[in-house]
Amino acid sequence: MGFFDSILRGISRLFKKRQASIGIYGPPNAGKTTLANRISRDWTGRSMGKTSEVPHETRKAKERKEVVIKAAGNKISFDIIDTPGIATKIDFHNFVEEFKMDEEKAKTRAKEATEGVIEAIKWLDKVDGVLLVMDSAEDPFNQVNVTLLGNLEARNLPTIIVANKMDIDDASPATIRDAFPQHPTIPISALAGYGMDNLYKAMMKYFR
Amino acid sequence: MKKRVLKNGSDRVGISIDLISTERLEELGSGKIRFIIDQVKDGKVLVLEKGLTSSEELELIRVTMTEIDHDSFIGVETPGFTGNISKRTFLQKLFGRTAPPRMMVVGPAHLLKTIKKDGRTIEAIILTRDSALEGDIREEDLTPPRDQEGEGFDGDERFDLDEEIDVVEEQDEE
Repeated sequence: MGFFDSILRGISRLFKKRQASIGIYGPPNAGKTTLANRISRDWTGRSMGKTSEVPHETRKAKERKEVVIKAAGNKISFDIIDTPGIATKIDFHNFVEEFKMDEEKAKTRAKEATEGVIEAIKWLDKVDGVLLVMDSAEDPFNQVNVTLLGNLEARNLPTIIVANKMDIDDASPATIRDAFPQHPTIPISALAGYGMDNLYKAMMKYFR
Repeated sequence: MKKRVLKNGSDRVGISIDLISTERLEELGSGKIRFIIDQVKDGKVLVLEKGLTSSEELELIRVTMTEIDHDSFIGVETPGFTGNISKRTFLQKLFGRTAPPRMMVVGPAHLLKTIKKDGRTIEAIILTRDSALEGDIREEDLTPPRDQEGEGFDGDERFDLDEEIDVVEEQDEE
């Protein structure tokens, strides 16, 4: 990936063979599906997936086609892909001990979660832009965030960092902005709807 | 993990930490990720003189996911400096590459725990029985729920840390 991929991607966009696919990425429990639901509900009236406090609730990527977003005087149609959370480890015991899940269900969930991570990685080859969701109350320098950003940069994929969970007292979007100043960072609460107008404006600017 | 018989004759248990030079990693070529996974699955903590590139890290995550079996390997912990991605040179921006990766630690997720990491400092601990006894860490976290006989896992049996350890003979020749 690099300079020539960037040119090819630009040519592809120029001819508009298909509309832009925007992947929602991030570690588990960053609020990816909550954000996908917020975007989808705002513009299509329908949700995309179930949310849960238990990590890895989304274990298969879900796509909502032709989500027409209007902001800043523009109107663009996107395909929105909600991807499973990317993790470096998955232990079914966490589901059993922390969330009192039945052991067989926990094992199944963990197995599906590993497949979900692989699927999310594969989707990186198909998307045209990425909303990278981070929990504003967590340390942004986790390996998943750093690895994802490095890959997005290497692929020249337009990326907006979504500093989610601004409704939490400990939220610190400035920490994220300071950690990754080379990318636009938009503070939002996908749960409460805070900051969504700014996010839509940013999508118009960076994903058009 | 390795159980080492030391020169004073005492049996000691511990976690093997291997420092891997840049030259060794480069020698491995396309087998780099396979080597790392195999070593980590063997219970070793690796310190890589030169960290993995972001694409190699993503491949490490992908392969790790295919290897997790929930009975013996729950994944990897990979604290490291992967280059200052906020300060790229003009050429790096032109060719879409992040800064060259720097030192990196890779270990089994049930043994290595990252406490704190920012752009300059990594604080990580290697879990031991002693650290579990001090209270913050559960002793059961130290032992992956591995089935020693390879005949399935009933979910309740977590084998003892001491019995888990492979034996490497380093007997005194005297």
